[in-house]
Amino acid sequence: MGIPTQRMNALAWGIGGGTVTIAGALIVNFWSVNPFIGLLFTMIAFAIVALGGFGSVPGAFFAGLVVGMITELPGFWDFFTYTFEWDWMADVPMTSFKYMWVYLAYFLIMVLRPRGLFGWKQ
Amino acid sequence: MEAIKSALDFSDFPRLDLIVAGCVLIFLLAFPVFPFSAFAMATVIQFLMFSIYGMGWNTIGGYGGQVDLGKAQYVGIGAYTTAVMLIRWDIPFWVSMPIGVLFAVTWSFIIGYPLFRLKGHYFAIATIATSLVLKDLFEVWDFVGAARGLEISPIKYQAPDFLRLIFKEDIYYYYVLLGFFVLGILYINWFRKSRLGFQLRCIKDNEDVARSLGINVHLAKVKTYAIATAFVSVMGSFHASYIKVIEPEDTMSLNISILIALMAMLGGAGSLWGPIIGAGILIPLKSYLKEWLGATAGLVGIDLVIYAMIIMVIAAFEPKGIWGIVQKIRRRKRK
Repeated sequence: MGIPTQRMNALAWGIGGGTVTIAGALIVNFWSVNPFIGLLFTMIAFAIVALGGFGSVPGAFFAGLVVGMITELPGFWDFFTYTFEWDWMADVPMTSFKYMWVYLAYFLIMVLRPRGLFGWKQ
Repeated sequence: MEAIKSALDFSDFPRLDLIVAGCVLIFLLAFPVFPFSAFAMATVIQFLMFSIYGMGWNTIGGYGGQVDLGKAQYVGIGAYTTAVMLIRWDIPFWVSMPIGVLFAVTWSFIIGYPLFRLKGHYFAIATIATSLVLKDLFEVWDFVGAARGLEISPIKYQAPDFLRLIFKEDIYYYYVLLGFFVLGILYINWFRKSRLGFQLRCIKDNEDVARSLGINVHLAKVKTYAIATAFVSVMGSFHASYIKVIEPEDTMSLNISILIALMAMLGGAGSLWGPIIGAGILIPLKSYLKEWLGATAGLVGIDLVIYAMIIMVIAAFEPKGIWGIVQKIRRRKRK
């Protein structure tokens, strides 16, 4: 039909890479720089896109906010420990595995609703 | 009896294949006799370990066509079961290995049942996600030593100890591993000719046709996933006895998953010899590049670049792996 598919694929890949590079440059404000920080964000990016729905950019935006909340809300565990004085909760280092909830959410979304929140119907 | 006869029957391979395989086996059997260095012995032990990992992956990834990038969690389950049982309750290897396989297969059924509804890329990424969940859990769980890992101190046990697989010399590990290797090849030979193997190949070609023929697609995939898990978990237990220090970053990370899948895919994903060829090329390449370029020439890190370039070149020119190249040459010669 006249659409150069390989060129469009390459263009999409390039735009995606460029956007991620800008995000990476901004991340330096919060994270230390070493060759391995990409791995963590690769998996979080997969989880966000799956949650928002493959093929939907506003979905990715909202899902990014949701994943950010999933990452940080278990940190409130300490608040409950000190407020209600439940000693057994003090032993669990909730902030050490805050990304585990993201992967778990990814798994649940893939199993229960593979389309994501705003995805196209396949 | 039927199964054993079927496992020992290699007659549907061309004669050249069997001659080469026989030569390689004789070389491997006689390897410790030659005066090779300890580095070479360690490399060959790594090669055997990764070829068994690759053979296990090959059942679901090659014959089944479902690329599974989450095998490292089962390595971890096998390794940690053996290590914890040895350190806390002094249970020998031959008892803790089947228990580790039991845990791993149970976990694989729990994960695999919902997971096989996905196809293609989604399945691969979901397996990565489950592997990382387990790794994160192991990194904070104090019973298995959290991120510090576990250490089996070889001084406590009287080496050579065949019950707990603690030896001082590498040669004992080598022959035990060679035994596992031969058993693994025989098992895969039986598997590819069994009913499950044929069902899987049918599913790989066209899943809807397979379903219309009455094959229970979901159950076949889950059963094969369990077989692959069992292979990987046995090798994980051996890994804990050989390398007596295990930690989550070392045994359960994404690196190990990708290495396992890479061995099989580079060598040829759907064949019996593929993972062995892949491991035979990649493992010595990695070790010797690191030594020649890194330690002797002082260029640290270049070895990883060259290693990655070789993988990219092979993957770009022949996605079916090295066995694919061999099969293409054979087909052209037949014409």
